[in-house]
Amino acid sequence: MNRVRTFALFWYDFVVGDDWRIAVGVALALAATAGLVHIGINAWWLLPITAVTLLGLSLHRAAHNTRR
Amino acid sequence: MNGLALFLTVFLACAVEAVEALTVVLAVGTTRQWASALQGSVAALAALAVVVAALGPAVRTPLARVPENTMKFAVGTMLTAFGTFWAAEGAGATWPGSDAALLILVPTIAVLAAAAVVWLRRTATPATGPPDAQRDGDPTGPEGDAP
Repeated sequence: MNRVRTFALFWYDFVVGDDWRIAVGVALALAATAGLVHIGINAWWLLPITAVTLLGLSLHRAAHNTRR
Repeated sequence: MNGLALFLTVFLACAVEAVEALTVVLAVGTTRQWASALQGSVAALAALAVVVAALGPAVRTPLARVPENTMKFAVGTMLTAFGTFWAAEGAGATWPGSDAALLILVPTIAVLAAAAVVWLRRTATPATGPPDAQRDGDPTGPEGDAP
């Protein structure tokens, strides 16, 4: 059981990482990009904007928690 | 670190990179062409084996002098840029200028990440990072991987 838990934790750490909000945000942005492309909008700009925004928010949260 | 621990560390690091490489090949193969994607990955594997065997011993000492956080910053920038590029293509989007968009994407992400480092240096409390970060002269102590 311990090996299964370690295996699951490895994949959680690999896919999700330090901040689950970034993983959720990227998944939503990917889905939104695919959806926009599907209806004819070439949404190449959505992922870079999302990545920069999520990184900024995550860093802000981490810096705020460090100061406390 | 003894030999076994070092072996396991390198093995796991290479396994993680292999999963990332597999993701790229799957994305390219699905959206473009399987034959070219597989041929490219096999050629890259052969080239990597030759380069590592030929240059590995020679660059070992100079690479050991590169600060750890600087290397993490460079690798994180490249992973973020290429990951964003391929993920958008995998979702069906077409980049302006096609592959040349990377020439804009990589430096843009590098500049924004450098700005974030400057911002963190101003806001974070000194001496709160892990020991390796302070040794590398980076008080922000970024220890996580790139998003």
